[in-house]
Amino acid sequence: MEQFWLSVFLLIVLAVLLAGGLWIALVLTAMGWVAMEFFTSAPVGKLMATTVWGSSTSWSLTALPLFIWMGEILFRTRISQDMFRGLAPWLTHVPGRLMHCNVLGCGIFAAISGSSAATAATIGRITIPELTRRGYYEPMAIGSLAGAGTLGLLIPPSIIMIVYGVAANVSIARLFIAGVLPGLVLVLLFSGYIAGWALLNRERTPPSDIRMTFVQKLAASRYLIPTVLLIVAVIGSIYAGIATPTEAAVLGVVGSLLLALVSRSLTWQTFSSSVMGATRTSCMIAFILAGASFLTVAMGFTGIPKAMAAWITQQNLSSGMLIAALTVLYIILGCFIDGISMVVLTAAVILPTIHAAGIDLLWFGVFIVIVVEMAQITPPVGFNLFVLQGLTGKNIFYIGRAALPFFVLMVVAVVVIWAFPELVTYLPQRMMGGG
Amino acid sequence: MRRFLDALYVASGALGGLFLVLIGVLVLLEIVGRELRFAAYSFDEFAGYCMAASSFLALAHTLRHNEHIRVSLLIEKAGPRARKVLEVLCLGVAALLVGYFAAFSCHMVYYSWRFHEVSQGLTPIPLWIPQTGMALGLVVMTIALLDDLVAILCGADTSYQRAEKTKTMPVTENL
Repeated sequence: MEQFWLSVFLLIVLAVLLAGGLWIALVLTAMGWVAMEFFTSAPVGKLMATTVWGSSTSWSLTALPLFIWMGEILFRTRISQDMFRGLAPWLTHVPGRLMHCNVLGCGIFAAISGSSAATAATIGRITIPELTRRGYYEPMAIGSLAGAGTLGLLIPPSIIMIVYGVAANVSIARLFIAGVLPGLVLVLLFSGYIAGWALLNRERTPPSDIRMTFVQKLAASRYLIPTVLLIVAVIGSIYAGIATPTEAAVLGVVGSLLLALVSRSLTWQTFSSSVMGATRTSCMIAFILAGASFLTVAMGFTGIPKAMAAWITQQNLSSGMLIAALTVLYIILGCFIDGISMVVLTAAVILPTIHAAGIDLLWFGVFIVIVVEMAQITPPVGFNLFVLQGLTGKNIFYIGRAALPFFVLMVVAVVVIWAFPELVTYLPQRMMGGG
Repeated sequence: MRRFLDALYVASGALGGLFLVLIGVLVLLEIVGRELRFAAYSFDEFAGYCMAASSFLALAHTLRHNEHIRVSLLIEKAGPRARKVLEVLCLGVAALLVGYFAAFSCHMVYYSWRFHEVSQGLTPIPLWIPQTGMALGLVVMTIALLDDLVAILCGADTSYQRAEKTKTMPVTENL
């Protein structure tokens, strides 16, 4: 009973600090401090320093800044123009035409980028002007970009998977590979929806304006070669078991620098701004992880996660019901807080419950990434919405409504991976070296 | 004083960037070393230390670029007076908390030095050396938070409010 009131009290502290606008990393640290200082006799300050030191120096965490840096370098190259030039000729006769550039472009870029906002920004920088110029139906052009941009999280490499892997102690290499098939499922769902919509609304899709022979199309595809090489180097080396995620990330950084060098976008200016941009983003996430690691230890001292796991087990909830309930909870949370905070709070509080319910932590990782993707496009708070606002100048709620069908498709994807968990587990089981 | 503080944040941020590049270099050396079969001396451990140094040394620089995330719904909706009160409270709590954290990190560094604690890898190094990066970063962050607290109490905008206003494209590189 004491733990129940303690949980209620901590929840209130969490809500007040979050709503008050305290930085997320410090909200987590403050909660950990309150829980320990007032409800245990542990030496709080010493534990804070040593826990954070231990978790901030882990080898698996070093993949984080490297993948962020890779994205920063690629953002400053001509890769998005090249991708559009390579993809557009093939897509111009498919129902929905160039809107598929959003989905496939994001899907492919996601395989070299770890973040959904970077994916949406990089692809959208070229597709939004191109689609608008040709007169595509605006809500679909914007919505498909908002939805497909989130693939950056699910298709490896993925920053949020590193965060989950570090916080929940799950192999990052296996998480990466587990995200591949569910990511392809989402690509199919998005593209299928666009094609279906285009067939039903023929008058809203402008005619094709690209006339090219088959050979010309093939020739245009050469622009995709550097991207494909990067994908093979990064994901291929992890899957083949010859590189850890950190090593694959370094290959990616070197490859991106070469690409930037060849395309003449590498100057001291772009190099140093890519380093500093990556340093800030990585610092922001690492600080949150530091706070989360301390909170996890503090929660362990209070015994709340254990008690909660026991309580849920007593309720005889089926794991399906548990996942359904969590999905609803995350969707609501996702409207207000960002994905990283959702993942680290989960790891600190409800992971023992998931474990007790017999749910595979690898599967749960992929599940939580899809739910976090949804959070990226639910107003009023969603990073992809902010990016699209920057690109289009439209209001957050307008973009949120345009993205709604794609949000629904993600819910469908959750149901699909629930019904067929093999989509998640098949590839990791076949990996070389077992990750 | 103003110039000294700004230089402090820039220097500490640049060091953070340097350590980030160093992570890449170390991992690259580790790969090359493995392929050419010369022993890689605890490169993974050193990369971890660089990670901590990079993260903590860049804290203040990241704050001043408004890139530490927070739930800004209420703060943005609040009127100027209410917003000022909220910012003062946030900065006050943050300065206390980070200051406390910084103090105990310095304490940890002192203990590692006093009792000659070394790392457990193939090449043992005194732990106080890498730990200094974390403690130093937290001290600079405490200073930056107090700096902004003073600024807002004097009626000026905070550094991150100024960064927010000058930003053309929001959070492109964040998640």
